[in-house]
Amino acid sequence: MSMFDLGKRGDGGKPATSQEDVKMQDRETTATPAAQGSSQATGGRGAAVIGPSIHIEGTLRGGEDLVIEGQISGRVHLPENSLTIGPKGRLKAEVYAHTVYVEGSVDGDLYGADRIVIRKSAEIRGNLMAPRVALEEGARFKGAIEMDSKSVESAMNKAKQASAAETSASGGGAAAPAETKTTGSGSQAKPTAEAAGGKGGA
Amino acid sequence: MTVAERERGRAPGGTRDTEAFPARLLQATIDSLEAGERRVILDLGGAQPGSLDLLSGFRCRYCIGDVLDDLMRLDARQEPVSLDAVIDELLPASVFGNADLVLCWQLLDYLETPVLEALGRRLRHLLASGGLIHAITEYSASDMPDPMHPLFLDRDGAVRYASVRSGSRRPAPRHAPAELQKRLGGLQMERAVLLGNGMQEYLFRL
Repeated sequence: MSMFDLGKRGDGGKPATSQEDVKMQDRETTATPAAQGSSQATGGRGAAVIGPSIHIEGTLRGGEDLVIEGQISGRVHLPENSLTIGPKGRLKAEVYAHTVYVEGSVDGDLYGADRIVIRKSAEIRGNLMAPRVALEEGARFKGAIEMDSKSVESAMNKAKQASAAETSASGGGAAAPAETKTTGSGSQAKPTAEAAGGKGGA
Repeated sequence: MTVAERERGRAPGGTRDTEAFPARLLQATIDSLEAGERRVILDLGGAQPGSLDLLSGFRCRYCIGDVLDDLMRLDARQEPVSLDAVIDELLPASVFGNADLVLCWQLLDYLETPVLEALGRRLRHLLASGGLIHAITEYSASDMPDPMHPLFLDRDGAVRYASVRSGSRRPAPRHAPAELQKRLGGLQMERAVLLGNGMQEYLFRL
């Protein structure tokens, strides 16, 4: 039996294709202005935005959708929400989110509980773990994409557990303040950021 | 496209460099992998949507080395130990190790001999026991695109050029099979198939 006959994933046994996923993302970005790469924070149900002049070092947690146009070093944890790394976003971090859209630069591993979408402007060096991964022509990627559903599930569980343990150790829940150090590009100020669970906009 | 045209890797009126062609040895290799086991596939080329589409439905870890440009830029005059160090860094075992199948398309034609030999040493280290290298090279043609027109695996299982670019050409080295085997550090050549478009598929086993 052919390897190509086995282990199909996706709904109804039909593997998700990158084109299908990209079309889905196109519809979603239309409905979510902040996810189009704008650095303007959106109110109401829009995503929070970390602007291009913001640099965060540490662990970023949250309970709402987030667009990153700035620089993050450390970890990003949005287990129930989508994360968009905008064209100006620069991450040196391990990322865990429900859905991850990448348009900028990432050096680190990405975990997507639902899917990861890599846009043509993306540059990624790291490993991808998600039930579905979509890639646009032109994207730069170096690393491994786990296609085995069992391995993905195992890796996702480990990432979840590690994150839960870290949250527990820090005495906070999903909405606890992030353990972050934030710097603006124009100053040396390093305030503690309330980046998780609340207003992450910058 | 007629069957005969597909076998030749050409569309009606098309040129070889623009069309998909079937790589039967590759397909047979994948088909022969033991059913149900997770496999590690290392593609030395860049990320391509078609390859991801094809492989996304199956049990594998798909590793993308994206090292074509880096390898072709290497200074072949370096000491072997220096070349080894650079290539080790380009292809770390922590990410790309334990590979069951390595896709090594066109590189063998474009690398200078010292770099080719260093790559062979590295691939031997990255391959799992009994692992395979699938290579595609020019065989019949006396010249080839310069710069390289990368090939990728299409979603229908054919091999296709990633982009259609006009440009200059350079002489093809037209390696003899025994020479390639030697350059790759003595890997065993299991099979070689001459394709209808004049390219050659190789299968080397550790």
